[in-house]
Amino acid sequence: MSRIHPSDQSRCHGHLLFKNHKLGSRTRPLHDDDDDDDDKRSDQLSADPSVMLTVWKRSSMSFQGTDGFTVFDPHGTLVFRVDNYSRKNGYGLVLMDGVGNALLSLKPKVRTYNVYQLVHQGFIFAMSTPRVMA
Amino acid sequence: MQYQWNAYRGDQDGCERTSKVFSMRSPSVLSDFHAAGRKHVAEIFMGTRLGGRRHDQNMPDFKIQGSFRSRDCKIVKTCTGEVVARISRKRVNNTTILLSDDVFSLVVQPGFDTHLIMAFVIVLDRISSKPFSPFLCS
Repeated sequence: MSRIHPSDQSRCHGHLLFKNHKLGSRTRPLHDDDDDDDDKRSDQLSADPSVMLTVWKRSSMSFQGTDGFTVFDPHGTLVFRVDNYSRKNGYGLVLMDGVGNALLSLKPKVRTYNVYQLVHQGFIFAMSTPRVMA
Repeated sequence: MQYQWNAYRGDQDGCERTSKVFSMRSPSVLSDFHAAGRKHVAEIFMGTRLGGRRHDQNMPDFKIQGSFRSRDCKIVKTCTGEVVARISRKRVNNTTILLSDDVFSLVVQPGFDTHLIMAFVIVLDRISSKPFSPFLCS
């Protein structure tokens, strides 16, 4: 919870987690950390299979250093979070799981070198010169 | 205003084209004007589809209907019309007391990745229009 940037080790772990997500091995990402009432919980899941999350849009004050989201499941467990989320510079956000493993990076489309957007008949075209990297 | 956001797997370092998971953008004002049937605030293209072909030839994989600013919207799978997730104001213990709109509920239907849906919500927050707030303190 206190970690803002995932370390290198946890980054690798995050990729593994992501693959597990894609394989569907965690289609119920409700937490099995505490084994107290597993039977009761599985009953609840079979009765109501949809996942209900509470999203908290933490701190929208622009002069505070961090901004972001915290997401909790019905048991109060931190499921996802986004930190270091500044409205000023508009650069990428990282969606992390509760312990800080990066799941997805979100980036606005970079419009630097020679990219023009034209609005024509209601549709946006992106025009660019060939990339250096291509 | 940013029109399009891309999502990549893992951390920011791995942002090659191959690791792109989805693209999300708000339809332009003119396209809403042009096609009155399009009443959605954002559209999502999975994989690397957006940019590969012209926008008007491919349908988005998901679209957002409703108003995110008032925390009343849903994420719809375009091909089937199925509601994937729904965003609503959070209530106190299912009573009529509403919490502030900094807290909201996200109900994801089974079979869909919650972290993907959550990524949609984060981008949705960024691309949806925000109320005017002067940045005098920044």
